[in-house]
Amino acid sequence: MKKVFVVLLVLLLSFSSVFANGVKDSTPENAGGKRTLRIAAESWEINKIFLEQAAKAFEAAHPNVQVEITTIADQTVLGNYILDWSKGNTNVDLVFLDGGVFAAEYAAKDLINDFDKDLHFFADYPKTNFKEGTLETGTSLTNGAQKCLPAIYEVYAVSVNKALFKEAGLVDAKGEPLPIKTWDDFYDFAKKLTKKDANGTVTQVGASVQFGNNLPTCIAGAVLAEFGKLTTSDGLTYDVNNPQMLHMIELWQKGIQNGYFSQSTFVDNAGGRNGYKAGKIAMCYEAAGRWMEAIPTLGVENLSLMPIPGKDGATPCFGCQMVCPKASKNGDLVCQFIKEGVYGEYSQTNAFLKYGKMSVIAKYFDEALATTPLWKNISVSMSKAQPVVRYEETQKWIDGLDAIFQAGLVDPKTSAQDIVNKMLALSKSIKK
Amino acid sequence: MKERWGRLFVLPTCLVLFVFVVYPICYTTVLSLCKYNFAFDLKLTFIGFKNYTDMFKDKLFLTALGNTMQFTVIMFVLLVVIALALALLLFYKKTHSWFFRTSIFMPIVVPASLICILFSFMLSDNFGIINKALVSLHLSQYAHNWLTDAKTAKWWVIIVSIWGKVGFCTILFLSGLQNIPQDLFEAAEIDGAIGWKKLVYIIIPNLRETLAVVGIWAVLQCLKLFVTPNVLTKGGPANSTLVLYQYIYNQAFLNFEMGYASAIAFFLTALVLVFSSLNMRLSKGED
Repeated sequence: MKKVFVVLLVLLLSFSSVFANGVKDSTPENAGGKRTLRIAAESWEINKIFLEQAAKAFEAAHPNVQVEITTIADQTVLGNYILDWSKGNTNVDLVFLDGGVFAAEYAAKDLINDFDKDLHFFADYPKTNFKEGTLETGTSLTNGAQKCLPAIYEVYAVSVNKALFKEAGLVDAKGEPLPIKTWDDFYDFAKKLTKKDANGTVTQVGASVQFGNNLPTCIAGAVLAEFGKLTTSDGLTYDVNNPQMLHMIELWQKGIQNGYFSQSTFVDNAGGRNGYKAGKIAMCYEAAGRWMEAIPTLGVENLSLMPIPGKDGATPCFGCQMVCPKASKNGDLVCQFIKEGVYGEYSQTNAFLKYGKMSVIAKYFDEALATTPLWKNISVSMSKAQPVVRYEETQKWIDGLDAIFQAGLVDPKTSAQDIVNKMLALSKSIKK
Repeated sequence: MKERWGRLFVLPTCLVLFVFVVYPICYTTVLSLCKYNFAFDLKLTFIGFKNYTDMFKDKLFLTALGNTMQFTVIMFVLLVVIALALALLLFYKKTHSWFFRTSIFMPIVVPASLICILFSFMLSDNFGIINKALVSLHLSQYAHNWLTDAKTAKWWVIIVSIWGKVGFCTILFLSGLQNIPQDLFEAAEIDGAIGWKKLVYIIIPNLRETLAVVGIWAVLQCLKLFVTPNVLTKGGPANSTLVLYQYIYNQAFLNFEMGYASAIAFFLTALVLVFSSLNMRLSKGED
């Protein structure tokens, strides 16, 4: 008896260690015909796009559907889906991608549905519902195919602390901040807005530019704002080797070396926005929604928004993209949830009004714009918004640019031309 | 009969070892000899030792290797010296030793990533508590861009890593000290060996085995340093704190270059073996 027990125990241990394989794919159809829609998103996406509220409303409208939302820890987890989906397995039906990261990788292996050709999303939801340019934030990632749909839409601008501008005397007769028309203005204002104590220690920084993960978008924004187009004639290389961009980089170098620009984004992507929200940084050149994040700490009366300095005034746009894996059997539910939930008035309007995540649906975009006058400061800029070209080796591009700028900006011996030359060499070396 | 039962009992462990250790090592070996981008390549392409030769032409790999060696040497020395010093203090301190032991060991139980997030807030240029305190105490000339200046960023990676790991080494050394026979100390005192002479001629020779264990553990921790540079500085500024482990992670899971990452992983394994063997030889001495 004892021997039989021991043998059974050994067999149980062997089988459990061999066959334990983590999360099994949950079947979309539960007993009683109830279907489950599985959504994966980062916590900020769940909060700022009001996905839980959208899920509850969807369940109430469709009693035979259960919506499960899983929080993704961070973007590196998204790469794991390639493994699952390559084998035809999935434990999610709809995934939210911050900035569309990995969309190109998924599309390269044909792992995600084309919302137009495979799921016929636009059969009863015309493209004219969308704000102009928003759908292109998805198609630009996947060679023109609509393999992603944008959930929200963002552009870049300069968020400004009006109170600090007033203190520095940088306001007009109406008390509004003086416009930042050129990068010389940006540098001069940053200089006047920077406070140092008797020991030369900076106690208030004039400006922050995102020198971390979003540096390519900041550079793209500067190029677009100056020229109205991003690339040279090859359609892939950033047009930075010209006097205007060289001068801008020189100003960035001077700003960093003199302490007028914050270096915190070298190691902390949120360093600039956190300093801005804390009232320690007067100008923040990042995604335009940063000013709204500062409302609780600074008050809306102390905030303003300006377009990126430059002659043309264009800006880069991007969106949090949604993808549906081909391994999912719930493509129809995904489309329905997007139309009723994500693109519903509640999510689209509140994401815009509370968090500055602009609506991709034209009707809600225009309504929200009308209720928040400050957005009108960049309305011309928004009308010229363009998606930024994405490369196959985007991560190498980001890491390489970060290293070039973080080293070059602090080194007085490195010229702006050196930085641009390295940037162009990097651009040649990566796969596009 | 007994042998048969013995084999049956170790079978589950062998299966687990095979599935989670042996097979991955074999597959990683194959990967290291191939070109394979997980996202864009449909299959492996055999390229022989090209990944290994390309490594030494890769500037970023050499930067990561240089940083890793720097961190390993400095951290190893500081970890052993500080841990031994703390262990000696605890050994000779008889009153309230429980409080000091708990305080020294506490950082071990706090997740490393949490430690790094807290330090990154404390060391922030614009709103960090350390700079704020220095300005308040009229010492603003010492306020600095701690994490965004390449030189100070390296030291803070070392300091934060040591802070999180010194407790474990201290406990090991303390245990070793407590196993030294008391008569040796008494005999040494009678012969006039006090202070540093006791340390050099009595304590350290008798701690040889503990030094070997602490040394191997410390070397492993230093070579596979990842959480601190990844969370505190993200390998920056300008890759000044990028380490090999992080570079492997970036290549494998951000760039999807599985073949190249596998080759670097084997190189790191070889480094670990070399350092561990060296440590064991030095610790064994003339035994």
